[in-house]
Parts: sequence; C-alpha cells; structure tokens
Amino acid sequence: MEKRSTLRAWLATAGTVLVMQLASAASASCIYNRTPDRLDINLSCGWVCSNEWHFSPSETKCRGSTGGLVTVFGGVPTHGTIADEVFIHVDDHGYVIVTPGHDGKPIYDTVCSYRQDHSQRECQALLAPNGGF
Amino acid sequence: MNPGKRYLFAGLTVLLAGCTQPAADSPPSGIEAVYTDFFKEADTDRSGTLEAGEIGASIDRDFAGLDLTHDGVVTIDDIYSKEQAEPPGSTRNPDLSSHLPYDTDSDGRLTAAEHRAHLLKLIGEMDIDGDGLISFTEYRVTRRF
Repeated sequence: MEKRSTLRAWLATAGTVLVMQLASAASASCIYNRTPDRLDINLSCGWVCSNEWHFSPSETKCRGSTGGLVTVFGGVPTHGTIADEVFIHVDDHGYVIVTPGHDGKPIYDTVCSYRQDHSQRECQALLAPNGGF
Repeated sequence: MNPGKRYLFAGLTVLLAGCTQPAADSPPSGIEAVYTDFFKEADTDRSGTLEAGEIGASIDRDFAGLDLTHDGVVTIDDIYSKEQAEPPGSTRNPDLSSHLPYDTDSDGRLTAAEHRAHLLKLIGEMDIDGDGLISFTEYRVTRRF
C-alpha cells in the first residue's frame, strides 16, 4: 500500500516536472537577409530582450527567448509612399525573410514573416536601402 | 428646473465628460502596445517603475530563454533548437557573436556574466535620472516609441 502511494507521488512529481519543462521550453526566431544589401534590423522580444543587428548581404541571425517585433530599416524615401521602415511580428520558432523586389519593382524589398509550420503570417513592402540600384 | 430638464442636463454632462477623457486613458495600439506589454510583464508589482528585483529577474529570465540546453552557457547549439523552423535552402550562421553581439570575448560561449554585463550597460543607458530604477517614461524615451 505504502509502495503504491510512493509510486503515485513519484509519478505526480515526474508529471509536474515534465509539464513545467514543456511549459518553459525556450524558443527563438530567425531573420534571413536574402538581399544583396546591408540591412539594419532590430528584434525586440522584451524590455531587455533586444538586438540591434547589422546584416551583411545574405546573412542570417537568430535570437533565443521568444518571438517578438522585428523592425527592418530601409532606404530614405524620395518618391512614393512605401515605408522606409517595416514593423513585422515574428512568432516563437518562426522566421522573417527579406527578399529583393516587390510586385516586380526592384526599388522595393519584400519582408515576410513565417510561422513555425512555414505558413506565411504577413508580408510588407520596404523601400530598398539603396533604392534598388 | 423641472425633473425632465434636470435628467437631460445630467445626461449631457455625463456624455460630455465621457467625450473629454484624456487620450492617455485610451489603450495603446500597434508598436506602442507591444512595447507597453513588455514593460508591464516585467513590472510585476504594478508600480509603474522597474526596481532592482524586477530588473534582476528580467535579466535572469532572458538568459534562461537563451540557454536552451540549460547548461549555464549559451553556445551556437542554443541558437538553433530542434523546434526552430528554418526555410528551405537556408544555411546556418555558425558564428555566435554574429547572433549575440555581447559575446564580448568572441569565444563562442556567452556566459551569464557577459550577458548580465551587456544588459546592465543597456539598462544604465535607460536610467536617465540615475536613480537605479527604470520608469515607464525612461523606457519609452530610450526605446523611442
């Protein structure tokens, strides 16, 4: 009888620990610069969880902890109304890709956020840092 | 004043008061809301200011989030977890200091001490009046939102 209750207590403890481990499973999010340009990108995932990154062409960077808000800085707007900076959310275990061109126009970049299952969360247009030239 | 007019006057007063609520009472939206939530999460005693205990807890929580393998050191293995989605055709960046620029000695191992030193420097820049506390205003001004 006593053995059984000890076993139950062990199982309960093990279950609790397992649930706590799963609940606190850490995550991350990544950003891929697939443009030929240098990019300034900020990932904010908490009041102290912030990275101000300088991306080289084709560079990848990731940040552990969680998803958050990504800011991609583009070129100085001289024409049109396309944003010179883009704010886009990235999920836990998700990623953001910046690719050159938008709607066939080379002066813009496309910034897309993807979920962990690779489905697209959202996309935005950004004025390319060099204006596409 | 007859009762009908009195009710009408009272109703109009209440309506007017509702319309002239200060904008500060309206909930923040977009980026502002995200940053405000970050601050609220850390401000566990809801004092509107982040004190030493809350600052320390935030730093510890951030390091725990980075240290996926729970070995007390952040390495490149912590950057790419099994759960992390990677787009087809992507290549991994093996340089830890590229992901986390505060690996100050660039030895590929970010210690809790390096992480803490980096964040304390960042927090010191936020503490405009130098009182050791971070008010929402200081946070807002330094994060520019």
